[in-house]
Amino acid sequence: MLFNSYSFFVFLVLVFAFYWAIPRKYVTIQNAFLLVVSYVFYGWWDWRFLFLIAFSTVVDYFLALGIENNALKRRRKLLLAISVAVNIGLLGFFKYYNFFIDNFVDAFATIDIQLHKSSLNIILPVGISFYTFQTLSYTIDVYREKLRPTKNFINFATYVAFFPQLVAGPIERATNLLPQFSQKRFFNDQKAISGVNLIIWGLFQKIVIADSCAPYVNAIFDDYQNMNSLSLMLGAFYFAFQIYGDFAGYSNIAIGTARLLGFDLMKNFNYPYFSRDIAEFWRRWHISLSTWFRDYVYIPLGGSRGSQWNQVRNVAIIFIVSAFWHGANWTFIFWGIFHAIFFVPILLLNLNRKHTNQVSEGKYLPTIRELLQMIFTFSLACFAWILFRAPSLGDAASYIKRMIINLDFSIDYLPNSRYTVEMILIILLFLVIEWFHRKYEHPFVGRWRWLKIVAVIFMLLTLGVYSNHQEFIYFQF
Amino acid sequence: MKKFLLYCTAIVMIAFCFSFTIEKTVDAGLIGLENSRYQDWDNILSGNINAEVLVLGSSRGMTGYNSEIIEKFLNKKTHNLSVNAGSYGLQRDKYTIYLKYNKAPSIIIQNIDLVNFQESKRVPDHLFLLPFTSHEDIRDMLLKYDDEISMQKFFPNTKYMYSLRFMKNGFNSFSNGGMGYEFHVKGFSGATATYVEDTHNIEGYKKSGSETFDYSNLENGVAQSIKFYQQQAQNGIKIILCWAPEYEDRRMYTKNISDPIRRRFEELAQKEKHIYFLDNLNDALGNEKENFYDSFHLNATGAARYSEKIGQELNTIIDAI
Repeated sequence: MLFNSYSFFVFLVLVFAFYWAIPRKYVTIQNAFLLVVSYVFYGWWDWRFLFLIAFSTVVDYFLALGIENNALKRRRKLLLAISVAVNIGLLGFFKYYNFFIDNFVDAFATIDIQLHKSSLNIILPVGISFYTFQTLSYTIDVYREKLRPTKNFINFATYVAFFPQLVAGPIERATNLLPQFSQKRFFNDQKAISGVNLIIWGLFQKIVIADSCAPYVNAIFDDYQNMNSLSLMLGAFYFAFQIYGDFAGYSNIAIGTARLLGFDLMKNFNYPYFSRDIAEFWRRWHISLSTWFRDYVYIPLGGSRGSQWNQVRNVAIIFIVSAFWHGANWTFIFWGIFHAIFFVPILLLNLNRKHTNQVSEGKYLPTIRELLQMIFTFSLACFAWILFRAPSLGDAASYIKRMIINLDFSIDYLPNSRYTVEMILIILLFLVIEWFHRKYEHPFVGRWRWLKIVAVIFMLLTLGVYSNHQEFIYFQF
Repeated sequence: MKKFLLYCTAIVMIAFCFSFTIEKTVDAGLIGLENSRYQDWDNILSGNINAEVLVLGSSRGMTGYNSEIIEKFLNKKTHNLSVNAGSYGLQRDKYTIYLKYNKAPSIIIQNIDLVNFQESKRVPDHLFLLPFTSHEDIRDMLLKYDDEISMQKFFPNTKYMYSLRFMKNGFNSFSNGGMGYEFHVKGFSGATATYVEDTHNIEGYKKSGSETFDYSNLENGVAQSIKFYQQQAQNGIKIILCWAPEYEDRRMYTKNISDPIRRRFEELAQKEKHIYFLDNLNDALGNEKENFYDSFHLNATGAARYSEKIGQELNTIIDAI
């Protein structure tokens, strides 16, 4: 069930009521209840998915205990390798089987060898990219002795299947989330209120921003051959906000929902479009994924130690692998390559950690330099989003080519009457709201918070898109 | 927990109040749009029509019969009660609601064609009923075809949250003095477009002839319609069945297919005292493209000419009665 649906609202109210009705001393019962409702939530998509998540849970639970109980390093490494193989194997099969088969066959076709294509009709289980990485982080942290494995299967299973973040993150670390399942949860009014506020803000990002942009983005990308330069640029611009509103909105709703139940999830977005360079962008965008790759791939490869060549190689690997995580399509890989190309110069000039503070900290407005930096970084991100959104490399190339050479900037070309100045104004308003609240996780703070809540609710009711529920983009990963 | 619950209650109350206010504002705005289908429905439900002559039909009825022109010929108050894309079932439903609030007519002009007798599976143009979904009769009619609106009673404004364009039109109505964007006068919507061939409508008929056409999905509609006309005739209402002109590109394929149906209505008209059949399928109007915006919908020009013709024919019938 989608977060922006009546059924989820009813589900959440019921879960909240029953959960807090359980006396807090019965932590295991609370966890068991969460486990059951999480499986109900996940099974709502497709009950067959439950076998996979249960399998992944059982395998990693026992492997982690095995790692802990084995003194021999070789054996511990073997158990870890099995965990990696099982999780990556599951992910690889469901997500990438057809991609590899198709490319394998196509590659042989270029040298006139015809192979029989036996693609399978494989349904991609929702959230598999997220929970496999989450369980992997657990076994890796146990191996690295950063964490003792839990002997409480219910707690572990609930950690894996916890419904607020199960299908699209944040990808939680066991060191952060798992201990919370062992502790008593005390209902805290402020925490719960902040959870509600995050949910409202997340719904605004999703329903008003992302879903308003979506039809316009679809219209332009589906018919880009007949669009002019202005429309194509706006297509990329709107997609930038569609994916941000969608994903950040989902994450906020997930974090807010978890907070209602007394849990703290990690922040997943930190106003990425206010980044001054691409390195900062990647510290602010999908933080749970980028830190996962940093800690479990980049650093083991050597990170930024070693020769310049090693650093560049490691960065390239990370960007390509994380891009490939998004989907089995060459467009994602080239999206990652583009970001690597943008990132490498900053790395080589040792400027990748230059902007680690909040932009214009303590000031109302950015300097001209900061503004130009943000616009430039945003433009790079938008350019790369074309690859992310286009259905194929050929389409992406044609889109970019037409955008550059058409040079027609007439506004009459815009295909949908609603999405003219109106849409741009809504997005600019959104950016202004985010700018002036970039220190906080949502705008409902300060003296005028009730006015802001009222205004956002009004916009949710009058500007939100409710028809033809748009699915969260990241569900496909 | 108390503080949190109070907070949530406040949020829900704010949302509820806003939703209620927006819904009522938009309802009023849409109904205030001049010459609109909203205003038409509002007049029906307010009992402001009370026409002596009613036109029933689907989109061909709505676009082909100019109520004002027919009224001038007959000197009787005329209103077009057709339902856009609505076949016989929906037409009956609208007529039933009409009768609840208005006087019964003395004459019904019923447009008939091949599509008229198919079942309606949904209410097309249900968005024009949005301001009236809290009205019992409208709700019941909509729920017969689609239960989506049953959720709307739980929270106000959900109907407009699914149709933002209508919300915008409702608000804009106040700022532009109720200036509508339709030309829907006395139920008639004159189409100003010029002819564009609608191949998709003709394709099916190209492949069929009267021997191979499947009449079974029309049979129920024809039988039910005949029963309805007979009931109205027994109540003293004159039923004028009209087959409007169709453009020759379509007619060459549909003429043979429609023959059996037209013969049934000819027989009905011969048998029943107050039922008449005006068969204008092959009328000369159908030879001129300028009268149509597709192969079987008259545009405003064609509707004016056809309505004059119908008006003259009806005058003769009424004089003879």
